[in-house]
Amino acid sequence: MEISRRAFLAGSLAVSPTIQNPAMAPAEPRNQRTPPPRNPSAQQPLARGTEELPYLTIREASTLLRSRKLSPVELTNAVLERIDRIEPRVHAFLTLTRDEALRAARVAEQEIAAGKYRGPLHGIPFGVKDTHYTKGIRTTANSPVLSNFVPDFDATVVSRLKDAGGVLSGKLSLPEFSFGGSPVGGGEFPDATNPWDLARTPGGSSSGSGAALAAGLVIAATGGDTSGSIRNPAALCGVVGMKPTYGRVSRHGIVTISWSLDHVGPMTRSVFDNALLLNVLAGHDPLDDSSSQQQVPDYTRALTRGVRGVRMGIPKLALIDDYHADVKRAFDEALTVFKKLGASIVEADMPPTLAVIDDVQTIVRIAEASSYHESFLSEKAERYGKTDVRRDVEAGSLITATQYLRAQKVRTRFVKEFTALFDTFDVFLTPGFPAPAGESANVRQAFRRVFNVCGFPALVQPAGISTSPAGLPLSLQIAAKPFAEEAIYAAAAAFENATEWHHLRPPLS
Amino acid sequence: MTDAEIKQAMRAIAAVNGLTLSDERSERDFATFKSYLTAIDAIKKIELPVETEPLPIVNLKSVQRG
Repeated sequence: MEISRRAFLAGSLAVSPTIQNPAMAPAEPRNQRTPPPRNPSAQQPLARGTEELPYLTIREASTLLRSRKLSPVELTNAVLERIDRIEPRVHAFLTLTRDEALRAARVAEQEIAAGKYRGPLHGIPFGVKDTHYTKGIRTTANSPVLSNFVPDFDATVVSRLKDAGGVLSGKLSLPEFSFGGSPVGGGEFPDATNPWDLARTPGGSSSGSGAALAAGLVIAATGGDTSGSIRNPAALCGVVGMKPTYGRVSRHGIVTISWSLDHVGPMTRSVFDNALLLNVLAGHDPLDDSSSQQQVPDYTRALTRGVRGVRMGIPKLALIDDYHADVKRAFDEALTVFKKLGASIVEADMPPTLAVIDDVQTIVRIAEASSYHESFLSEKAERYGKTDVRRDVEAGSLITATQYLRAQKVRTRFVKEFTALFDTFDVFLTPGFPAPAGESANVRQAFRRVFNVCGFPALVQPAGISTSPAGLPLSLQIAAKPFAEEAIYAAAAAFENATEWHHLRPPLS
Repeated sequence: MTDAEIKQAMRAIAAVNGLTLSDERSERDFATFKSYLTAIDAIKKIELPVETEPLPIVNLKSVQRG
């Protein structure tokens, strides 16, 4: 489908205010809008034309695709062209599926032209973490142990995205076997870098997903989260990442770390897109015994609820006093925004078991991981990369059943205590990450692994820009009770509508 | 336990698990295993009623489907 550049721009700008730079935003800000970002150099005006296409949101792109003002092939080509230019610096992809993407885009184009529009994902280029099985496409988990592994079926989430008409453009990077909150080298492929500062970590373990979204190399992505691995890169790369309730999104066909802690979820550049993507990913899967049969709502319907009268819990500020100063400032500003929007903020007393919950997560995670790795350790131990994975799982295999079950019993107590606590508010807020990318994040309680232990949903979204060091994304985390993703999306959308942080782009050209 | 006793225990448990832990590997794994033991010690300080059950429970949904 051919459209003139002028017609495209007219169409895209009409539906696409978010592709503007904040500096180009209306002169009169809305009442609750946060102060402008303090590092203008971090803002990168986008050239118009095809340069804008890879930074379209799902919402914007789907409007253009459905109305045939933009074709899936044109969109996919624009994304692939940007990948050609930017990827050598970002290393977000382990495998680029160029031919498959163009083939899928042509099919989507024909279907849309024939009036067979499948929904908002139809014709949208996306990437998946390279732990997701992809039929006929290698799935390595960035480990030499799996370097030749080509699955003969798709993970359920990959099937769902393809069935929704999505265009798989590649497999995204991670540290070896998703071990570690940041890539540290030594895997089968180079580590992803942070588009905001190529010398800094993008966070992990869904590092490629966060980096690719921030760099405009995909329009949607998925990640996996066992210890914060969706939320860490979302926080450090300035995008939106949701770890849904345990059981909400299928784990079938995902390379395992820990069966009882692993989650799969959507990563996007806006809250609306995130809700759209969860609509596609969520739902019962008979192939995953931990999959919930609870009905899936349309998450986008929660986005206009607002937060007036919403009760928001926060940790006592002493619990986060060891966080980076910029992070504490951004969190304080976020609370101010919510108060102005009509929410009430209450400090919550954390249950005493919180003090050992990261220890519980460590023992459960590594004991289950060691069981998953049992055959690799006995048959392929020499093939692990130059990372700490072999060491960690080898030592983990020495944990006794009694020790593992002790951790699982403390987990039972904690979940009961945390459930009772969460009955006292609607959502729970914390900073999205204790420090900007690459800065020391060694704090008493990071509020990451706790949500894997209890399985409650938690979302991270952009909430500021650092001043020291300058120009790095800061973020906010919003958690809620099991299957209360709608409450999270309502709060996240209210914050996003009142601020401009999600419009910022890293200084890449 | 002394470090030497822990390393000896590591090799013994590994052998029971069917793995041969060389001296080099037990040296390399030692600090990590010790950190796990430290975590376990912290977990043990939480008092639990004897009736407490571990979190994963048997789920018969898949059997019922069959």
